[in-house]
Order: sequence, then C-alpha cells, then structure tokens
Amino acid sequence: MAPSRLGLEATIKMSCTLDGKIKAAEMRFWLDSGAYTDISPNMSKAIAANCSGPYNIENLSCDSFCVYTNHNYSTAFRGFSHESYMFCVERCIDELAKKCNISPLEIRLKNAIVPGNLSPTGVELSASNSGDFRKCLEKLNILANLSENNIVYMDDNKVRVKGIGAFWKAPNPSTDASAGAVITFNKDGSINLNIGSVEMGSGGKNLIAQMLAEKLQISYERVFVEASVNTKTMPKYWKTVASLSSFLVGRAVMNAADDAISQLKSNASLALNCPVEDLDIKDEKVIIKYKPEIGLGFKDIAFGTKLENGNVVGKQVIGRGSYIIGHISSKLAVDNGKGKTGNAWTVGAEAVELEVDLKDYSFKVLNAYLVIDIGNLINPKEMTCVLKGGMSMGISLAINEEDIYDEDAIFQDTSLRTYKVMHINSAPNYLVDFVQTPQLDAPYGVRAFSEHGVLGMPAAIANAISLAVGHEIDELPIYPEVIYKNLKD
Amino acid sequence: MIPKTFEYYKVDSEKEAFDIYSILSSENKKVYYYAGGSEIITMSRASSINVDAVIDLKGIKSMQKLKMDGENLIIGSMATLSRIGESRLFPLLGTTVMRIADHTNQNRITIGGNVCGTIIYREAILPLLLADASCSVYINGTEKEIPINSIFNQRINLSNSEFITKFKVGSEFLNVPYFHLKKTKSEKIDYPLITLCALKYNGMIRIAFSGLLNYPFRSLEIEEILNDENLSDEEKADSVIERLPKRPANTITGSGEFKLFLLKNMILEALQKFKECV
Repeated sequence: MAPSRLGLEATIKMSCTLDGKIKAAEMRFWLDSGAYTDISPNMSKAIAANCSGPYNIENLSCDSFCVYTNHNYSTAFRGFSHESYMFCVERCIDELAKKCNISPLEIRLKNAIVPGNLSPTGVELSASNSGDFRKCLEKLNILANLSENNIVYMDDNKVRVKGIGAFWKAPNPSTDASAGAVITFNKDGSINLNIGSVEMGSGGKNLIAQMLAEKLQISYERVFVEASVNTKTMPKYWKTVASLSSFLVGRAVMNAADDAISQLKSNASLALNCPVEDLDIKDEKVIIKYKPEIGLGFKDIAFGTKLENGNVVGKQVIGRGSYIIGHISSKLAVDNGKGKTGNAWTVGAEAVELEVDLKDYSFKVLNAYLVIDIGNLINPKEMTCVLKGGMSMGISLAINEEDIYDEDAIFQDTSLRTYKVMHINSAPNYLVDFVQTPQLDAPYGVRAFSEHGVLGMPAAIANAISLAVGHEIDELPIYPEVIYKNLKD
Repeated sequence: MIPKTFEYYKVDSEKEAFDIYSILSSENKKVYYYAGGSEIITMSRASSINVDAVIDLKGIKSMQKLKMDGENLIIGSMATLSRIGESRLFPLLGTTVMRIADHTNQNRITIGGNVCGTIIYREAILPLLLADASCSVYINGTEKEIPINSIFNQRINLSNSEFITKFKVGSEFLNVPYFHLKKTKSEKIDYPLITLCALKYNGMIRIAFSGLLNYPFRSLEIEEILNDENLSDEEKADSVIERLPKRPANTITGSGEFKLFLLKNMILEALQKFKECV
C-alpha cells in the first residue's frame, strides 16, 4: 500500500480441514508508521482486533506491530486500515480455497461468522452487532453470477476473470467518543439542527435529517441541518469520523428529539389542559391520543403557548441531547488480547470482473459488485452512491496509487501527473445490493456504511488477477509491470 | 496559476510577435512564446522556469489554419490537438494527438506547443517525421520552410527567438495504412511507456517511437530491419531491440526492461497489422 496512506506487510498462516473449514490462523502485521506516530498505533490495534475478517477462526494468534520508518508518516485512509489488512486476509483465503480445491465463494460461506461466534478479541457476535455475512455472500453470488466459471477465455490472449473480496469493519473509537445535538424551532414550526459532525461527502447529515424528520413527524424538507461547523457554538463532536456519524451523532439527535418532544408536550398540555401522557406527536402537531383531531401545531407551541386570555405559558423549546459510546475499552488485554474496542461490525462482500490481456498484462475492470448488510436501507440512492464512491477509491488504490522513492529514498511521485487516481474512463459498471439486519442500538437500525465500499476492492482485484495469470500476486498496487515482475521472479 | 507577476502580450501577427520578442529580450527579460500554456503554467508553478514575459501566439490567424492547400495539408502550429483530431484530415496524426493528455487539455494544447515542448514525449512529432513533413520557421522577419527530418534531432532545433508557423504534409501520406499503439503504466490517459506510430508508404514500413528513450525518434536503421524480407517477424522484433539507438532507461513510469518487453509485442502487432492491410 502507499506508505503515505498505509504501508502494511503481513505474514499469514492458516490451517484448515481438507474440505476447507479453517481451524487455526497465525498472523503478523507490520504497519509502516513513517517517522511520526499520529494515528498509526490505533490502526495497528484495529488490525489486531479485527484480523480474522468476517470468518470464524477458533484458534487465532495475531501480532500487530506499528513500526517507525524513515518514510512519509502514514495516516488513515477511508477504511481505517481495514482496506489494507483485509487485502492480506482475503488473498490468503483465496489461496487456501485453491489448496482445498473449492471455490472462493464456498470457502467464505463455509467459514462465515454467525451469531454466537467470537470476534478475535472475544466479543460474542450477534445479528445485531455483526449482521448477516452469509446472506451477503449469497446475494453477491446472484448479483455477480459467481457460480458460473470464474475464468473464461475470450481468445488466445484475453481472459475474463472474477475475484471476491469480503470485508468487515468495526469502528475504533476512543472511550470518550461523544456527540451532542441541539434542536431549535423556527416561527413556522420548521426545525434547525445543530451538530458538530463534519461532512465530507458521506451523506451523514442527510441521513440524520431523515431520522430526525421521522422521529418528530415533520417533513424532511422542514429540517434544516446547519451545514457549516463552528466549534465555538456547536456541541462537540468527537472527531471527523464519517461512518460513525449516523450512529454516534444519530443517537445524540434522537436524544435531543426526545427532549424537544417532552418540552412540546409540556407546552401543549398547558394549553390543552390535559396530562402529557395523553399526548402524542403527528404531522408536525402535538395531538391528544384518543382525540387526534384535537392538536396544536409546532408553530403554536414551540415558543410557549398563548392561552385564550392572552397569557403565555410554557417556554421556548430547545431540544438538547448527547451520546457517549459505552461498553468499550481502549486497550486489549496484554496476555490474551481480549477486549471490546468497537460497538458493532458492518459486513459485506465485493467482487470484480476483469478482462486481462495475457500478452502484455494490461487489464480493464469491467464490473464491480458489492453487497453490504446496511442494517436499514433508509436512503437507497444516497447509500448506493456513497458505496460506489468507496468502490471507485478501492479500485484506484488497487491498480494505481503508490508512492515511489528512488534509490536514495527521495520521493519521486510529487504531483498528480504521476500519482494517478483512477480516471473516469477507467471506471467499471458498479452494481450494489443490500442485506438489511438492523443494528438494534443504532437509530433506525442503520449500520455504519460510508467507508465500506473501499474495503474489499483491492483483494477482489488481486484475487481476479492472480487467477488470470496463474500466479499469486500479494502486493499493491497491481499494474502491468507489477504482474510482469511477479511472473518473472 | 503562475505565482509571480509577468507581462503578457497577445499578438496578431508573426512580425509583431518577433518584434516584441526582440524588444523584451534586449531588456534582458526571460521571454517565452506561449502556445497553449500547459507547460509554461506547470513549470512556473513548480518554479522550474522563471517567466518575465510571455508572447501568446494563439491569436495569430495565419497560424491557426488547418486545411488542404492543393496537394498539401497545411497545419497551423496553433491548431489545437482536438481540432486536428476531429478534422480527420490526417488520421495517423489525429489518432496520435487524441491520445495526448485528456480532452480538456487537448482543447488547449497546440501541435506547435507539443512538438516544441520540453516534455520528453512530444508524441505529435511522430506522424510528421514519418510523413516527411516540413515546417515553416519564422526567422528574423522571414518565413523559411525546412524539412522536419533535417531540423529534428531528438528535438526541433530552434533558437529562442524563432517559432514554427505551420507544418506541411504531402497528401500522398495522409491516407496510407497506419498503425498507432500507446502503452501506459496503467491509466489510459497518462504519459506513454511507449507510443509507436507507423505507416506504410510505397510498400515500406516507416516507424517512430516516443517514451522508449528520453526523446522521440524515427530510425531508418530500424525501418530497414522491419522491411527486410529475409527475416521472420520474431527475428525482426528481436533485431529492432538489439539495434535501438540506446537502451531505454528506468523511469518513474516503468523500467527499461519492461519497456523492451512491451516493445517486442508492439512491433509484432504492428507487423501483423500491415500484413492484414496489404
């Protein structure tokens, strides 16, 4: 991997029964931290805590080292190191499948995690905290038509191949990771939401607005999320963590919405002269449960309520909420590695179809597939779009992006003229499908998803190319000269 | 963006360009003729050149021509790559220039700018070398027509005050069988590891390369090998590799060894193509 993102090397040993059931694995990871640590120790920890991938491995040993080097310092890319170690694991799984003479899909199905299994650090897995990986694989099989032959000769020199790259990812927050939210009302009853979350294209603010609209029974268009972030006036948000915002900020917003609802009800109860427990909210109004035709609009009660005699009772409604992630520890136990460093996993599986020229090793990515357990597909278009963006970054990472140093360790790749990201005309067709197993502690069951499109792509591409050229290629990026050198050595 | 103040002159005629050049350079200013800007802008940004003044030639009407003139195709040096490609007047040249940079840049880069640039690839020169084109050079107030093959040695040799006004290609070269193949590190739009241009004229293959060495070249010796009827295709390809003017160097985009590996396949492909179109 590109050292200024993540230079990762790994040695992985796996043992399995003859029919491909993995019994044990021994893994060692060395993360090139560069000259400064920044966030790389946390990435090393994330690698260790999730090293098995979405597979049940009963006997597991893992050492994950963070190594100072004289390279550029590395930092987290989209995927927070999962895009790198999953490449290592998924390459190994494919090679194991070949040894057992079973298909790449079959070995993954056979070893897929299920509720009741343990994570590498001893966390018991459930449908809520880790979704349904098996179902993702089954859907991927249909989407990418994996049961047909994975290698097809087009002519003497051209083959079409398919490769799989599965993933799981848990966030790796600090134990004090928290979010806050403030809800205020406008005169017309529409609402403003102030959250400190930083939006970088993950669509988190849209999803949160949707959740809030649903919770407050108000139309989406009437929820105004403050777009800019001002740390002076906004509630603190832990840090820029795109994929965690629907969970962490979402929980704070739900909390603030509950607070606003109770204030709205309190104001309404004074005006309607009935106990708050008889009130409900519907269509931007507080109504009486057993007499829903009687109610007061948010606009009439958000700033106190005017009684018939002209007096105003109640108070201005300001919803306040916060959430702090609980039940996680920042450290893993020294002796056995046990500990819970994240709250939940998102699982999924990706595949690619490539056309490879066996004469000069040039190749084109024709199709890229993804099936993810999203929890609850509350915004199909946006969620699909964010995932496709991740897939595109994953492909670019796999086939182009690298830092080049000369013999004197002088950095060569100093501009985007030579540091190539994937150009639009190289982009494949993107096909995305979903599994929906709600995450019970997440607002509306929505799982973290915005980083995840990137995670399985590098491995899927390497698996496909290895199949095409009949040689295991265990490095990134992969471009024609890399294949040439691998075959020559 | 160019991060310093500089003078900019947009001129209407060759004479005006030359006169302004003479005045500015007599003031000891570092003056560049400007033919699209992609190099001047990027090199200034990287501080590898220091520009005091630029003279923009793109507004000179006579240098924008792109049309048949009797038995010759006239290509004004300020014709953009995209105009040349879309005109389809010289298919090999069109194909070659439409694989230089991306479409946005093709709308800006001129053939004169590419051919005279400092970039080592200068792919637009390859078809001109093969078609025995000539160029008109504006020297000291007069225009002089010079065969490309005599003014070109690794690059077009001009003094700083001179510039090319147009290229002339004989119509007998325009629609001959041709072959263009560009191999890059990975992305389609990128500098070439190798760009190969070839055409068949009077039954003989002519061939030129960019990217292989640090300058574009046509080699008569290589053409002789390719046209040798006593050699098999395989022997021809091996022999070409043996007789290159020098060994390809390792560059950031690819090793010399890999370039030779590609070259052999490319030559075989070219030979095959010309066999098919006989």
